[in-house]
Amino acid sequence: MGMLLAAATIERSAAQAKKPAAAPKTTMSGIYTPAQARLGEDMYYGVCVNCHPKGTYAGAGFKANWNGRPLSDLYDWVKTKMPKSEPGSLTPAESVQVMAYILQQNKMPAGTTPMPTDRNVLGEITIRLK
Amino acid sequence: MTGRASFKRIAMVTALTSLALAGAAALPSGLLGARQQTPTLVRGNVPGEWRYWGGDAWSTRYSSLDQINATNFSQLQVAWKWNASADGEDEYYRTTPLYANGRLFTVATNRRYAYAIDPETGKTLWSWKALDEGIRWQKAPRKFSGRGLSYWTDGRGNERVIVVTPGYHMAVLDAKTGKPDPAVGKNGVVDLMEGLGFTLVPLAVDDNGPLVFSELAPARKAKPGETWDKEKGIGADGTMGIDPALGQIAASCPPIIVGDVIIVGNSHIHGYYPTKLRNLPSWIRGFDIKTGKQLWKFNLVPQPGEFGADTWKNGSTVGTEGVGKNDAWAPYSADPDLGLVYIPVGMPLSDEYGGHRPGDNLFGNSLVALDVKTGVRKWHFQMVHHDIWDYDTPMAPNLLDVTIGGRVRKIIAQTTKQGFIYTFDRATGEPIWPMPETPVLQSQVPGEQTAKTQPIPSKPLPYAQQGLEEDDLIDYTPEIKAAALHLAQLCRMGPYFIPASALDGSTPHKCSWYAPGASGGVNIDGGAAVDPDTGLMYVASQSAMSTQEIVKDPCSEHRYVQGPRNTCGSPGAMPPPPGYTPPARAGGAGARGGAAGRGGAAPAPTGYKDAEPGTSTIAGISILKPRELGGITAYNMNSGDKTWWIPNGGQMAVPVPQANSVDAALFANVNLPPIPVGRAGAQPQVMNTKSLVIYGTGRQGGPPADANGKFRLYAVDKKTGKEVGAVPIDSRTTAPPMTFVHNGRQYIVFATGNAMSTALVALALPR
Repeated sequence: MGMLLAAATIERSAAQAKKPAAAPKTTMSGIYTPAQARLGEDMYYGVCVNCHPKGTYAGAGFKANWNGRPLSDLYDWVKTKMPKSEPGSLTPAESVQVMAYILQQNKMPAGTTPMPTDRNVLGEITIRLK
Repeated sequence: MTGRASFKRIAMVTALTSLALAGAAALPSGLLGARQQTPTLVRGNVPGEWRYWGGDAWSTRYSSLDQINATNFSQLQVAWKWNASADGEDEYYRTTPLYANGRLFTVATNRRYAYAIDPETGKTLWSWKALDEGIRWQKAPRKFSGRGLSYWTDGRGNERVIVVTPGYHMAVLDAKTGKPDPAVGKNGVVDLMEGLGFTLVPLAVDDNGPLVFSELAPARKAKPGETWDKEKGIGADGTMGIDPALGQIAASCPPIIVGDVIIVGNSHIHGYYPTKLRNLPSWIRGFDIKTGKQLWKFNLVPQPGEFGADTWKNGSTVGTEGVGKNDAWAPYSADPDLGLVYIPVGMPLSDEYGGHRPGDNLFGNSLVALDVKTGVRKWHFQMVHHDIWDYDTPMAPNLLDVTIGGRVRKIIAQTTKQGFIYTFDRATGEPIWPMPETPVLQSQVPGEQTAKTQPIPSKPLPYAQQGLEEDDLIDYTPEIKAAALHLAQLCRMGPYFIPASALDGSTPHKCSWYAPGASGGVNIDGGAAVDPDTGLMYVASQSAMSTQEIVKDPCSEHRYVQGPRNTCGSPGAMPPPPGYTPPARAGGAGARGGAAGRGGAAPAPTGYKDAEPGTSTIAGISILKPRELGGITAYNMNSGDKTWWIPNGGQMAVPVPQANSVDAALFANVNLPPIPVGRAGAQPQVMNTKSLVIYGTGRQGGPPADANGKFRLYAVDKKTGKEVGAVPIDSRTTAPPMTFVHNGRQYIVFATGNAMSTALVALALPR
């Protein structure tokens, strides 16, 4: 039984190895949930809007600063540098909620899996705008 | 006013309130309205009503009503909820409505429509859907509903509601119908861009979006013959305005009305990331309520030959490098008896660097008293000289009559971002308690010339953390104190007014401690309520700390802008010079290598010894000693002493060090003192009644939602600060609440929500 399982595992691994490499995950892959974006919107209007009026965090400005960078960069920025009046005060969960709202405002689709707070996972996702 | 006169006034307030409460319920509302057409005004307000943004002309946010009190506050129920998003979206809903002569008035949506609401049912009585302001609205710097509107009556049946739109028009509406008064301006509307000395020009746009980063992607003067491209939403749409090349102005606060004079100012762009070295200055103007005729104009940037012009050493005319702003964007207060209006003024152009505008920059950061009828300056006091901290004067000053040293004084108390209350004799401008000009730290940034001194109030004591000194640091053990001092010394320290440091290494530090920061102390959301009976003042504030680090900006006309980023790459910014590479960015790769560049690896755990400058926590514990700052601070303005303090939301808890921090061991066996529950950088929103201070926690303040998703509106005893009631509410307050009595029933109304979920909520006791 053990031999069979081992053989099957090897076979499966070999099959996987033959598959083309998965496309790098990007922010166009549905990497946050609508619920996170809603909470992020509340946080935006509660805190962020003091310095970031609408139009300053979406579109060309956002693209110029963030397109092509790992999502962990944005997380680090939000988590450690924001808000300006009290940097570092957002919890990890609040930070990714704000990020979800920003992604939503930049027309990146929501998905069914919540955005994690793990930097390692976020580091494997590339910010990609159309 | 003598002490005897004060007593008489108090007695009258109580009598009128009792009458309203006892008798109003028996009167049909029509009779009530007729009876109230010739009321005796107290501080410009009818007792039991709320005719000014701040409750009355003195901005007391006080009502003598007491039907809702400590015994029943927790029984309050939602009487009605008015959907403020029915006609469109908003930013956060920052409005405090008015109640006058049987109607509730408010604004809503980012077009600032005006409404009258039935106070009993919450049904809309009329609405005024503003003007089609075209490009003036599209490129307005302040596109949201704003703080509210203004009310006027002649006491003979004529009533008006006045609203200033995002596109800077002023509409005078019949309070009974919402129809513009045809006797005023052009069909009831005054174009506030006229009368400032500029020839209006046809406007055009090259995009269909709003302003970006304060002032980028602006409108422009239309080319001859240019027309509107309906499909693309660009071109010239026929809108006239001040040439956008000169800058942008708007308004977000209601005017204040004294007698028959409307006093209106302007707000401006944000000053965070300016790229242009020149912008429009600001003005205060008086208008005749009956005709809309401009009566006077006061220059908040004094022009050549005027008092204060010499505080702009490079000149003060429009178009001069460094000239712009000084906008009085907060609500105003007035003393109708003295015939004075009090203007809290914001700062000049560029929040954190003033090297382009040497001098004290009057009337920036001043409290200015103007004669209502002439606009002539009676007195002024500049609270911050040559501001480089974004210390706009953010809130209407509060007026009181108090007894100090046995002498009845008419005072005015100005709360500020910088955490001080500046208190004056409101007739003369004489400081009530000494405010000596005190030497302060000087800037080390090239080109910056900070003021040698700043006025420092000796009383009352501040309500927010100011600066950072060794004595402010936690010292539970010698090791903890050493760690806190290590972090503190990574940025420039000082008692207050610490000038910004530069990230480029041209100053000894790369950052300066910033407390209070740009959001105060007191800011838009907070401010004070005062009790005219007792002289107590209730200041709602926040107390947080951050850092200032300015950066050279090759894509801006300013030598420095606030860091850590410059504006390069932003739409409309100047192109970077050849060979420019972005500076390394904290929290992200300077070179944009994409995911492969950093590989997403988590950084190795670091302790305080390896922390970046500006880090203000050790294992998640603030390096600041917990102190009774922020939240609500009560002062007895008869003495200037603090009376009580409570945190925003009333809850305290012992913080827990982060167990996974390499510094966690520092706190082993240390009993940490409790700190307020909730965000330090959030302000409560207060009003007061006969016996209660009533407050909401503000947009993100206080304890989180409970298990049912509810927040709270709180009531505390005015004398002690002890909580006497709390009512569950669906979402946090977004503006100071107000109260009134209508048909014998007292209501509390507050704004809440944002975007497409804005609402007014009315609470009342069960019938």
